[in-house]
Amino acid sequence: MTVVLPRKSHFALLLFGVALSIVLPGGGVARAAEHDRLAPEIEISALDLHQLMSLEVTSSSKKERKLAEVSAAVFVITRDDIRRSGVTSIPEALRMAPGLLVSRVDSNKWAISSRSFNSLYANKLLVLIDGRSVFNTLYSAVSWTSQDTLLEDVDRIEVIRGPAAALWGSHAVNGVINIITRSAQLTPGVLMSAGAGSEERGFINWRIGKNSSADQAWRIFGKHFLRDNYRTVADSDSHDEWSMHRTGFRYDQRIDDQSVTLQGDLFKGRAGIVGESTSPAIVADNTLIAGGNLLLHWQRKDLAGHATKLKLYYDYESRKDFLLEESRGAYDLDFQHDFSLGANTILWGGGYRSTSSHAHGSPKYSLSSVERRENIYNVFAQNELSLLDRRFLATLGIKLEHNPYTHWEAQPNLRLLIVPNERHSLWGAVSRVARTPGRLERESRLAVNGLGILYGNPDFDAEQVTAYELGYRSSPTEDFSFDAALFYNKYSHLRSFEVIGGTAPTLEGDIGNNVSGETCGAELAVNWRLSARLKTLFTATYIHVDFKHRDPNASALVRSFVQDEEEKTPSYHAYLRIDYDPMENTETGLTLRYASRMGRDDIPAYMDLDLRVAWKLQRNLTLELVGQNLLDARRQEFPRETLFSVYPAEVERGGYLKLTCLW
Amino acid sequence: MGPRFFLFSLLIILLFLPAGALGRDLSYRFPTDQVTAAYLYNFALFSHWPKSALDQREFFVIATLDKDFADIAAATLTGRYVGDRPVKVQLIHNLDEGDAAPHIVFFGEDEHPSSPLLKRISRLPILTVGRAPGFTATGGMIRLVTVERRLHFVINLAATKKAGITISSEVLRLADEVEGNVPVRGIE
Repeated sequence: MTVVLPRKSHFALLLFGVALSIVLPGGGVARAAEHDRLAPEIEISALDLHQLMSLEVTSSSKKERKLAEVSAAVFVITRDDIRRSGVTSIPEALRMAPGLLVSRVDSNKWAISSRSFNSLYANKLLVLIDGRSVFNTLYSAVSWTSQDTLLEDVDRIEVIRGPAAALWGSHAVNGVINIITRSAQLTPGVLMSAGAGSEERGFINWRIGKNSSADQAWRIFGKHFLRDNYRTVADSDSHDEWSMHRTGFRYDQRIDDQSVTLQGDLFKGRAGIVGESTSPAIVADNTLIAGGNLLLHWQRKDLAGHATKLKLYYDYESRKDFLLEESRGAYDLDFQHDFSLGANTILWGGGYRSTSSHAHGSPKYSLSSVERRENIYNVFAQNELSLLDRRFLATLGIKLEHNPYTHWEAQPNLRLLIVPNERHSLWGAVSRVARTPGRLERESRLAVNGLGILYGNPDFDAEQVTAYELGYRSSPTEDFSFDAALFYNKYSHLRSFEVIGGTAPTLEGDIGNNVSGETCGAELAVNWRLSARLKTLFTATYIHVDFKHRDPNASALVRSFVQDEEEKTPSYHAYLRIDYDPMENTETGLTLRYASRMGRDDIPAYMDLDLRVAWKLQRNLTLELVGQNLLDARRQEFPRETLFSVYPAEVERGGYLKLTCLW
Repeated sequence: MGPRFFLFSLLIILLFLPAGALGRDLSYRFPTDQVTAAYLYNFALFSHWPKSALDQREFFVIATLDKDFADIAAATLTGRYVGDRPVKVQLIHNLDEGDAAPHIVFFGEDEHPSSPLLKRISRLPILTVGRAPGFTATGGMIRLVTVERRLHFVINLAATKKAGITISSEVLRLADEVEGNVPVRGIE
């Protein structure tokens, strides 16, 4: 066991040998029992930290139970997943999460939703970046065009499917995405990466960080990119070129049991858009985007792990194109505290958010007032009862939220978790959520070419859902784990489009609460490490949707909108990634994505392939070659939504080369 | 469900079935205690202790309450030096018996995170490394965690500062942030 090796070359050779023996389908290797395996002749104490971190170790008696203890459908996208998938944006990374519907509408726009209701303006999914909500309350949607950060700084993305309104409020109807960046303490030094390719025309990312003392650290970063336009269905330029500049900072300080984080971003860019207007009928324009935010996060943790947290931020964004010119600033203050009382852990808190917006419409699309201020405040409490050494957990929580349209809404949920042993856990939940209206739904005017005018409805009420969930997590061996979830959601008072009078093209319509229905589905995530060098991730989703208009005599047009909503959800979609490291300094990855047919015949089923190879040229220098959407030269991923102006484009095959330097 | 769906399913089955038949695990795994000892040695090389009585010691001392670990660590680190001091692994029962203070104390997984020993030595210039969940939250300096069968670590910088120990940025950059981040917990 102690034949001394010179550090690097032999170690690499050895690991390569081990890898080769694993991968080559030798029957002898397969038959070798665990105790027969030859221990590699390495002197472990001669290895440096980098090498130690790459060694697999025998199991420890107690396993990390954190994720297994969560009674919700959670999927965590790690830094490793992001790097290995070769994605250049957050939406692309989200494709691996089960239950999430991710479609690229054009070069700079995405439709992302959880468990159906997908749209460019998907209104039932909340997105937070380091606790800052990026949900736009005017559109009731997240604009993915302006949401970004340095991917190298992202620690993980937690994707929670299913209702989470009892903690996160009324926008978390079918899910929450938490994008969490690393503490500045973990990013000292200088990082530079740059690359170019056919669709990724050019990008530069940089970061400078320092631990200025043992308990304070800072970093500054920048991200600049230009993405090429795609093609339209008619094979013309789709005018969706996209360029963004972003710079930001993060400062972390600890004082005894307290920690403070101050962080902020500034961004500016332009994103091409092609859409319907009144005259001319089709316009190609650029959406000019600019914004910034500043966030302060304070927390104090006592010895038992109980925390008091306070979060304060200001977020500003402006955008301007042929449809709308809007600027919006929001102040947000949140507080939470938890404490124990016998077997109970009680988490409680509250929040206040004030948004003022200034919006100028166009003949195509306008709002009844230019200036608007919206205040939302909430209180919440949750009790977690833990019995039998945390083998049984019951969580009961409720959030009361006040909004300017429907006033008080209650968002309760009940969750149960049983952990019979460390390898298995079973959970179930029942939740009720009211999605509160957005401003657009109450007071807008939208001209739809060939159809007429659609008005907002000042009486539009909250949409209601009762959700039932069941989940099972298991890791029968350390190398194999899976996570399965079933859901059944019953909706009422869903948004409907109604005809008030007239006939197309001078029809008058408004929106109502007359659709009800149900969705059900199953989600699966499987992690399997076949060897030290070969790992796979497989996720699959099945969703069934069934919506009905309350009025059986509703016109064909009104019913067609209900049907459109149903058909934007593919019944099946799946993701498979195989990560294989043939040598110590080389990573390869293969990603396959599948989605079944969408829309009546609009979007056929598709499968696509991404490939990535990365070489560590030196300790501080990595070269990557990535191919994206390789199976089709181009393909449309999302149908055109009748009521909305934007025309989708066809996603093109692309590839890029990237060099990363760290010192 | 077009032909591509079936192709996809086939690929999944082809990938998973034969591998399942081959057996579970074909790679070599290193004993956790040996790797842990090597980690402690690396931490020793990349940390600076304040100029104090420690400098007078003849050996670089790694102390532990875990008998099994002490045996393995002693074997693993035989013949290693930190600066010009040979490494010595010492099994301790407590620290108030007039012992000279060690440089590093390692707390095994079964050690309760809020051990009175940890509390008592937290202001001394002793690097504390542990494996128990909650170790850093209760004043420990470095916690080793198992992530996908590999050992990673979390650092509590406030605690190292309190003790006057400086850890090099090489080490900090490799640290993982796992502690204290439980999903589904409101504000993060």
